[in-house]
This record gives sequence, C-alpha cells and structure tokens, in this order.
Amino acid sequence: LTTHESSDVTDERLRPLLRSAGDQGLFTSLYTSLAQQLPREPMEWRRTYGRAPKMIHLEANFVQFKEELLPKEGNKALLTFPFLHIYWTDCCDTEAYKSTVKEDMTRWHNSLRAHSSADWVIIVVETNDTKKKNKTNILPRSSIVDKIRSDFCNKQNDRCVVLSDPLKDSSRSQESWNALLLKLRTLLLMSFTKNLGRFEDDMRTLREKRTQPGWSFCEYFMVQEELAFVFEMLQQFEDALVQYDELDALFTQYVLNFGAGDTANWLGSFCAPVRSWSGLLLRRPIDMEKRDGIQRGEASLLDLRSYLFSRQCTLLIFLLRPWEVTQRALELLHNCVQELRLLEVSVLEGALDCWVFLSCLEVLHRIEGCCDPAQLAANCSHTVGLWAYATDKLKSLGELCGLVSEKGPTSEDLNRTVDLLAGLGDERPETVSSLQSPYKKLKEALSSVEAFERHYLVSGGVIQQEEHEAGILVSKRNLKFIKIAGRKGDPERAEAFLQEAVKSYTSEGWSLPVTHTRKQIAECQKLLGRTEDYLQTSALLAGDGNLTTEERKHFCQEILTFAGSLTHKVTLSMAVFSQLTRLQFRPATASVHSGAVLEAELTLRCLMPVSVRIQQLAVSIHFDLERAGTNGRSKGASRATNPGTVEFSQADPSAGPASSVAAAGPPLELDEIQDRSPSDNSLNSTGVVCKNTHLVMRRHDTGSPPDTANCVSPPALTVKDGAQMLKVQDVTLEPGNNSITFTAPSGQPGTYTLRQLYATVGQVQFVLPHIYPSVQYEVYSQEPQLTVEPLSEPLLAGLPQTVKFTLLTGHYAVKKGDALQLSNTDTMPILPSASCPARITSPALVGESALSIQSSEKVTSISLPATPPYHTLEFHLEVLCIIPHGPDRPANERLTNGEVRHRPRSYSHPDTPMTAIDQRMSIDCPWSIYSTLLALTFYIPFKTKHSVLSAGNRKYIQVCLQNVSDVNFTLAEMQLTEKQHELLELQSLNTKTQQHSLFCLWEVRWKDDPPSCLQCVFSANFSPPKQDVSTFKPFHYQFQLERVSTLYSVRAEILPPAGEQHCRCGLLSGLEVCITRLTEATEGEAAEDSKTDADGPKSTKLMYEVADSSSNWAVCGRSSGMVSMPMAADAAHKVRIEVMPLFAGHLPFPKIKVLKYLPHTAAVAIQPDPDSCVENDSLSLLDKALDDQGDTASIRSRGSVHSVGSGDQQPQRGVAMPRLEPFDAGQVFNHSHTQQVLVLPATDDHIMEVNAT
Amino acid sequence: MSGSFYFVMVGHQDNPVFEMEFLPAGKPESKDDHRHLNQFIAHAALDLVDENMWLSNNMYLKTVDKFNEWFVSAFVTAGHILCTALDSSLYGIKNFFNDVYDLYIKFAMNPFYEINAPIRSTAFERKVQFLGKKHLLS
Repeated sequence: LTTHESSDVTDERLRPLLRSAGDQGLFTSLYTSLAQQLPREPMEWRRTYGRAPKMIHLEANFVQFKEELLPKEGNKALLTFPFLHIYWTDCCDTEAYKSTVKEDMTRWHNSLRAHSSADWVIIVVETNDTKKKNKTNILPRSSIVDKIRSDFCNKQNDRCVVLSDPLKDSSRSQESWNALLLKLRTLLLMSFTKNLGRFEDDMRTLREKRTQPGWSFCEYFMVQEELAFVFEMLQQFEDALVQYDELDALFTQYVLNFGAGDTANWLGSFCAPVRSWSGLLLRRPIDMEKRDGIQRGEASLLDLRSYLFSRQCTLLIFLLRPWEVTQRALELLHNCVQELRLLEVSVLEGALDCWVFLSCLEVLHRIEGCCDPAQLAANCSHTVGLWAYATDKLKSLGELCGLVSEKGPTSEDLNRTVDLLAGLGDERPETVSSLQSPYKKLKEALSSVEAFERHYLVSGGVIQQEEHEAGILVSKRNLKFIKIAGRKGDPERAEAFLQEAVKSYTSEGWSLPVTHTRKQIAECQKLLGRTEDYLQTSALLAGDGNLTTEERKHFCQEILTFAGSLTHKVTLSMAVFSQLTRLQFRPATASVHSGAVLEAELTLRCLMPVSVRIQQLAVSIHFDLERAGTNGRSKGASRATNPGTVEFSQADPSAGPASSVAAAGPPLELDEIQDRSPSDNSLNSTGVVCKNTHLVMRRHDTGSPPDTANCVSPPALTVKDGAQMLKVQDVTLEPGNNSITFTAPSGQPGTYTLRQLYATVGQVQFVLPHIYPSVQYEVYSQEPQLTVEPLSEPLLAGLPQTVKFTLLTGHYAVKKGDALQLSNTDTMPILPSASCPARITSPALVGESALSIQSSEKVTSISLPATPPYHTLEFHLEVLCIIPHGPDRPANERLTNGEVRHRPRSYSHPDTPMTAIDQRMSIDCPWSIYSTLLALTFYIPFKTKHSVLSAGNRKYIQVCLQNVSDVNFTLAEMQLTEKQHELLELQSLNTKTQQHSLFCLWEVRWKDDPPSCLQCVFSANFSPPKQDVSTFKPFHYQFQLERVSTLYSVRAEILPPAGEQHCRCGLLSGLEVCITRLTEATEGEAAEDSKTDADGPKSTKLMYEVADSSSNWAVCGRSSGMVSMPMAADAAHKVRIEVMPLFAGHLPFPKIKVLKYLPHTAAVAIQPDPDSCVENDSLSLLDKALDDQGDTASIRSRGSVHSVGSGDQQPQRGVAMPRLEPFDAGQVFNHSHTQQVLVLPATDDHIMEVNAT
Repeated sequence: MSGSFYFVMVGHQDNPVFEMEFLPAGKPESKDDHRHLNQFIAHAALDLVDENMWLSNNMYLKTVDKFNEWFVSAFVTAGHILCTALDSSLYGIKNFFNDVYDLYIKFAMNPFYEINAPIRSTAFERKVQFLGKKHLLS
C-alpha cells in the first residue's frame, strides 16, 4: 500500500516533511484541502535556550511512507527528515480491521519504533457512506477507534484522531477538520522542537570538535546549513541568516588565524590556485553546484564565499532588506580580495578584478530585479559604491589588457585577455538569454578597445549620476575618469566629466587642476566643434595666470582667429575677458541738465595676455522718464560721498581660495551696546550685538559655486536692445587696466541706468549682462528762473538801492530782442542808469554785454542779450523805494497788467527796529505767459514820533526822528508845516545839533481861536554823510492832531492842618482842587453833549479822582467825585479832600485825574480810529502825568472805560451804563503836576536826656 | 621628478591651505605639467585620508595612497587640517609632519589668522622650506 513520492528540496520553499502511510487513495482525496488548510492558522512556537517564542505558519510536504526512507542512525540531514508519520485509514469494519488494517498498522508502527521515531499519528476517517454500506454488520463506530487506541496508543490517546465526513460540508465535518489540523500542528511543532533541539546539540558538539585534527569546515558547514534550511523552511529567515552569518564569521576567523600563522588542515583546499572567477550567482535560491563542491571539499575560497553570499542575499531579499545586500556585497568583495592575499592563493593577474566586476554587476542586477526603479533611484547612495568599485576594477582590467594605452593592446596583453576570459568559464544557463548579463558585458568590454571604453564610461556615467542624485559630492577619485575619456574617442562624454571635475575643483579652490582640466575641456570642445563653449573656455584660459604666457597667447589667438572667421555672432560672458573695475562720471554729480556733456570713464581690467583690438565697446542704457524733472542737483548731493565714481568689487581673478572665503559668509557687523541705569548712569550691562545676523546665519548653499566668474558655461545672455547706448569704436585693450571714456547721451531729461556692457571683437561679442551695483546718471531739465535779490542787505527805503537780477536760463535760450517788462510802480521807480552791464556765466564768465533799458510811463523794458540755455545772466538795477508819508492811503490803483496794485504796507520786522515795506514787482518774461511776481523788502531808516506838549494854553509840537538803520545820515531843513490854518504860526525852537535821535519842537501860536485840529507835515532832507547837497532826499512825515486846545485847568493846593504852618506827618491835611473851564464850548464838545442838555446853560459832567500810587498820602473819605461843570469860560469848581501825609519830607502832590463822565443816555461811544493809534500811541508828558498806570493809555485808546465805583472793566457797547472817558492829551492842564509840599515829621514826644560833665 | 617632494595642507572644505614643493638642490624648476599633477594626486588622495583617519588613533596615517612612484602620506591635525605629502622616498616624513604641525599650531594661534584661510605668511613658508630641507632632502 505504501508508495514513494520523491522529495523535492529545490522547491521554491522548503517545507517540513510529513510521511503518510495507510490508505493512499483516501489520503490523495484529502491531500489538497489538508495542504491548504494546515498553514492557515499560526501556531506559537516555544523554543529552547530562552529564545523568544514565535508565531509560525506550518506548511508541509506529504510523502508516502517507505521503510527504507526512514532516517538511519547518525543521519544528520534535517531537510529530508520526516517530522511526523501519519497513518490514514477509513476502516469501519471490525473484520477488515482485524484481518488487514491492524496488521499493516502494526508493521508500520514497528518500523517506526525500530527507528526510534516517536512522532506519529493515526487518523481514522469516517464517512456516512461507509457506515451505510456496512449497515448490517456494523459495530459501534467508536469501537474501531477504541480498538486502535487500545492497540497502539497505550498511554497516548491523542495519537489517534477521528475525522468525520471530511468531504462533506457540514458543521460536524468542519469541527473535526479543525480538531485534526490543530492536532497535526501541535504534533508537528512538538516534533520540530524535539528534533531541532537534538540537532542543534549535535551541531554544537561538532563545532566544539573544531580544534581536533580531521575536523572539516565543509562538513560542519553542511550541518549548520541544514539548520538554516529548517529555519528557512519555517520562514524564520532571520534565524536562518544568523546561521549563515555564524558560518561566515567562523570562516573569516580561520582565515585571519591563518594569516597569523595558525593554519588548519582543512584550509588547504581553499589555498588551491583560483581557476574560475565567474563571479557571484544570485539568481538561484540555492546554487547546488557550488553546494556540492563544498560538500565534496573541493570548493575554492571564491566558491565558498560566493555560495555563502548568495544564500545571505536570498535571505536578505526575503527579509526585504535589499540595501543591506549592497552594503554586504561591497564588504564581501573587498574582504575576499584580502583573504586571497592572506591565504597566499595564487591568482591570475586580473582574475580578481574580473570576479569583482562580475560580482558587482550581479549584485546590482539582483537588486534592480527586486526593486522598482523609483525605489532604486531613491536609494542610489547604496548602490553607488558598487558602481564605483566595478568601474575601478574595469579600469584596472583595461590597464592590464592594454585597452587604455594609446597604442592599443599588445600581443602579450591579448594573451592575458584570453586567459582571463577562459577563467570566466561558460556563461550560466540563467543568463544566456539576457543581453545585458554581467558576463556578456565583461567579455565584450575586454574584447575590444572601443567596447571597453563604452562600458567604462557608461559605468562612470552611472556613478556620476547616482552621486548627483544621492547628493554626495563627486568623490575625488572619480575625477580620474576624465583622463581616460579625454584621451580617447568620446570627447562629448569627456567634456561632461571634465565640467563636473572643474566644478568640484573650483568649489574647493584647487587652482592648478582647474586650469589643467579646463585645458582638456578646451580640447574636447574644439573637437566637438562647440565654438561658443570653446571660445568661452579659451577666454578663461587666456586669462588664467597659471598658464605660461605662450599658452595664454595661444588661446587668445584662438579667440581672435575665430572672431574673424565665424559666420554667426557668438555671445560670451564678459567676465572671462575683462573685468569692469571702476566707472567714473564727469561731472562727478552724475547729473547734468539736458544737452550738457556728461562723460563716463570706464576702467576695464583686460585679462588677455596681449592687447586686443575691439571694434566696438558699448554700454546699453535704460532710460526712465519717471524721475525726470526732479532737480538733479539735490539728488546728486544726497548720494554717497563720491557719487560720480562706482567701484566694482571683483572676486579674485585667479580661481583661487576666494571661494572658501566667500563660503565663510559676510563679515559680522558688530556693535557695542551699553545698558546704563537711568538714575546714576552707572553701567548695568554691556554687550556686543551682531547687526547682520540674518545674513550671517543664513544657510550657505553649497551646491552652487559662489564665484560665477569661474563658471565655465556662459550665462544665458539676452542682448537687450536699448535705444540709447554709450559707444566707442575701435578701442585697443591692453593687458591690465584700461580706461575708456564715453560721452553719455543727455538729450532727454530723465534717469539713465547703465545696464549691459558689450565688447565686440569680430563676430564674438563679450557681454556683461548686468552691471552691478547699478549705475545711473540723471539728466534734468530746468525752467528758466528769475531772481531778484538785494545786492547788499538791507535795502533802505528812500535811497537809491542796487538790486541784482539773476536769470538762470534753464532750457530756454534767450534770443536777441527778448526783454523783461517791469511794471512801474509809483512807490518804487526804477532809476535809469547810463550803463548797465550784464554778465553771462556758465558758471565761468562767458560774456559781458550792456543792457538797454527803456522806460515808458507804465513799463520798464529791459532787453536782454542773447544767452544760451543753462547759463546765468546777471545784471544790476538801481531802484528807489519812496518812503510813505504817513497814515494817508491813496485809493487802490490798477497796474498796467491789470493786476490789483498791492499797496506796500509797512510793518515792523522782528529782526530789525526798522519798519519794513514789501515792494512787489511784476515782471513779464518772454518764456512765460505768466507774470513773475517778486517781492523786495525795503526798510525805512527812520522812526518818527510826535507829541503835543502843553503849558497852560500854549501848545508845543514835538517830533522825534530816530535813525534806526546802520547808516549815518545828514539831515537838513527840518520843518513843520500845517496845511489848514494859514494864520497858525509854528515857531521852531530847534537848534542845529545832529544826533542819533533828533527831537524837534515847535510852538503853536494862533491869533484868535485855538485850533481844534491840526494837519501837520514834518519834512526833512536827508542824505548819507559826506554827500553833495544835491543828493539830499526829502523825508515827509504827516500827522494829524485833534483837540489840542486846553479845556480845563486843574489847580491843587495842600492846606496844612489848622494852626500848623506846615503839614505834619500823620496829621490830616486838606487838599483843595480847583477845576477851571478855560474855553467856551467847542463845536465838537457841543455836538457830543447836545443830547444831554438841550436847553439851559450847557454843562458837562466831570469826574475827578485823587489817587496816590506811591503811598505817600492816605486819602481819607471820598477820593473821587463828580462835578457838573457849566460850559462857559472861567467856570470853576472847587473840591476839598482830606489827605494825610504818611512820610515826612518834600512829598509830591497826590495825582488828580479828571475824566469825562458820560451819562448812560450817551449810547454811542466814541471809537477812536484804529489808525490813529499809531500817532497817539506815544504818550505825551502830560498824559503821563495824568495817568499813573502805564497801560491806561492803551486801554483808553481802544475805547474801554472804567466803571464808576467798582473799577471793573465791563463791556460797554450797547449797555446803558454811565461811562467814563479820559480827555485827549492837552485838553486838561494840571498846574500842580510836579508840585511838592513840605511835610514835617510827627511831633516828637520823647525826652532826650543830655548829661554834661 | 624623483627626489622632489610636494606638501599640501588642506582645510575643512577640502580647500588647499598651504602648498609647497621641494626640489632637490641643483634640479631645475619642474615642468608645468607636473605641478598640476601633484595637486591632482594629492586631491585624489583626500578621500582615502578621510577613510583612513577614522581607523587609526595616530595623527600620522602613514602611506594612504600610491601613484606610480609616488607615495601619498598623510597627517591629520587635531583640528582636522589634513597634511598630505607626495614623496618618493618616505624617509623622514613623520618628523617633518610633526615639525610642521608644531609650526602650524603656533601660526594658527595668531588671532588674525582664520582657520581654513590660505596661509600667506612668508615666515611660515620659509620655516616649512627649512624643515623640508632638514627632514626630506638631506
């Protein structure tokens, strides 16, 4: 009944073996579902030696039982080890059981026992069909199971399992299935644990014997690998990997010991010369070929290592750790080379290189096979090492086989190649069909020079690409690609490599390699016919100080030759050719008016070794109208200290260590800070702050080379076509600094920005795409400007004064015949002068010509000489400002141009005591339709005051003339005239003395009636001193005096107390005041008071007040009172008031004030004319005597009054209150104004004792 | 070419800090081609120096690379300035490195010297020249 099934260990996955015996037909029917369901549920596997329990899924291979296949004693093969024996039966018939099944079962059981296999189980399958079929003679179904149990499982009842209706889909069948599977799994695991434990113990024992002679690593290897297989079988790849790693470590230790002199016999087989170097083989899970070799003890070191690694690789890929494969591979490859050296294995030269190359590619291929491209690209940092190693080895192979020598391989080289190829053996069957197998690659690479280079450069390219992607700086060793690439055929690829190299060298600052590499680049580019690039590189080389002059000249000549022969324009970066170091504007403000000459001087440092002739050097300009019109001058002033010069900072021209300095970042801007306490200014803390942290702390981008000047490829240039350019034709640039002067266009006003610099040499154009820092100049346009200013300050009125006319022509060209039209004013005539020279400056004197001035009645016309734009025209005119007479005002006049004439108003200026007059001038200019209004301020050199002085009825007029200017004057012919009263005589009481202030006095005499109002004109002639009589100018001062005649006289007398001859201090004295009316009622007065008393004798009310401000007197009783005074001459009124002197001595009389009392019916207050206050401002002496408070005068003049009694100031207008009004100056004469009275001290009651001896 | 000797100090960004070439007495100035070759070799060896310096506790790394008849020896200062020398004799190189290291420390203590900046001191140059003559060319 037992049949054999061959076990297949090379199945995709290893599985534990289960041997089944019994009813084969039954088993076949159940096999599928059993094999499927067994691994479905995980089982917890508890393990020995304290290893962590694991959940495992069990899979099994079922094999038919054969007695001869049972493992013999000492067989260590675990893979073919039957872990569980199963006996299947569906017997339900007792007879059948007794007759056949039991016998068979017994035999099976015995054979198992003979092989001491305790892992078995009997499965009884029950179906309803069998039950039905044997209905008649059926025993209870349990009886058979019981029988089997009693027969075989004497103490192990669980070794017999019942499976009911396995092929039916019922809950019962499901249940029994589950029970069966659980049982099977449990038993299988038990068996595993037991057998593996035993196996591991055996293995350890074997390992401990490794010091004994005759121990073989290969044997041990097979044993431990068996264990690894089992773990792999259980999908415990981690554990399996550990087994291989242990083997790896053990082997490595032996090799190292060998190197140290401790040899093991079994190592002998590994020391055999290497005959095959076919590389790793990772495409099969288990390389049985090599495994057999190891088993036989015939494997070479490379075979062992290859096999070991292929196993590790497989497991790592199962573990999804492909990147560990690459890492281990690199280690392995380096290690193997070292081990072969240690073991002194003789290897054909180059064989190892072949092996490494193939292995690298194989590993990479394997990794590529199990990862998707995106994953691969993301992890290229793991693979780049392998690529680099492979490329390295390929290169050494190439050198070995003469594939890189310039002459090509010699016959010796060819022989060596053949030997190497022989060692590769035949291609493995797995890769025969693939076109890109490592084997084919190597064979092809070694077969011809061209193929070699292709492969070499491909792998080199892969590295570079990967390094780029991985963000690694190109490793220095790889720069060596360039050499071979440059020497041979493929300049295009070589150029790319070389550019990479240059980038690396430049960023690190190795100048000599940069130069050398650039030379090679130049060669490549020339070969490739990339003219533009070639010229760029040539220019760089021509300016490279590391080359000899001859070489530099050669490259320079190349450029010039190409420049002449090219058919199309080539644009190159200016930086390789020359450097702009300085730009200087003349004039230095870099701001001119439109049309003016502006020169820009460029300093170019030419890097070429010879002088180069340039057809055209041009700077394109960007014109910006926006800022036109702003005054260029002020802009220029606000610029830097030297606005006209721009220095362009340059990086070190040699591709030197500038980059490293630049990488260090900008210098720190440090500043000291101090924190002082506010109370006592003591230092609290101090520190240093960095002001430009944002720059310093900024991350420096290592990727981009800091020095663009060293960038080989020219930057993308766009030749911007500016409409305007600075141009110079045919310049020869000498090596070193050259200075080129441009004339900048300045036609239109606006801002001009210098953008790009071009130098054209034949068809080659060198362009500086951006001039930085930006350079600008401004062209401004200026309106003509006319200013009139005094030639000397201040302008004095009344005297001829010279004023300076300055005309900035701006953009306007003054033509011949252009004239300024000045409107004449009466107050300021323009004095004609014989010759009036005009100066034209720019700013140097350009010309001088005479002006012709024509005056008509209304207009003075000044014809100007022809003046070019942006020049200054200057001339002087004499004008005279007539001093206004006084308060009189003529009516408004109209000027010739229709404007309202602005009457010059005098006003006092805070800076000077002189009164200022603003004279406006209206000038019509030819360039504008509008009149230019200008103001000149004149100052009146004199100040005049007048006052009326009275002595009883006699009147005096005093005029005070004060010179407030800085100039001396001679005054003559002072006189005072009166306009209205012809009979009035003004008698001068003046002497002829000349003083700074002059007081003149006239007595007014009249024949019959005293005049109530006087219109006086004071006139004098004046001239600056030491001048002719003819230069005397008149000065008039007009003023009006009103109510000058004396109305009342006040006479006071102090009467000593009764019985006393003199007043005495502290005693009451009498003050007798007598107020006398001197005149009849005047017209003015009558009109004023007519309302009060229409009939009867006219009387007016007066108010008197006695006040003593100096506290000399105490007024007892009423100090003020009212008297009614008839308006008739000599009417008198006497008042007696008690006063008491408070001090002894000659005391002045107390002041007596007399005021007009206006009853409340007088509704309209007399408002003094505001203008009259100028004249009346000055107080006469008499006024002063009357008013003890200084400011009363001003209060009075503004019409305010004191209310009786209270003395409060109240609004008077419209309020029916009696009001007080003071008299005008001179209306009241006080006879006793400055009188004094003798006051004796109070009676001395003290007795003075005088002792005489 | 043989008998001459090239010495370069390399900063942290792999930038050359100080370079010097020693020629045996009586030898003419080497050709331009060789000058850049020296830099090439020294530069290419920097990766190896980087690898090697972590494998040893010594500052002196012995020979790290070989190119034709040239041996590239390296010395790493405590501040990770790499000193690399190209030499064909290997004799006296360790002493030379030590002396130059000593010299460099003194130089680097100058507050005006910035680490990694190229050394442009004639005094330093003269002293290195002297040390080279003393240890390498004699």
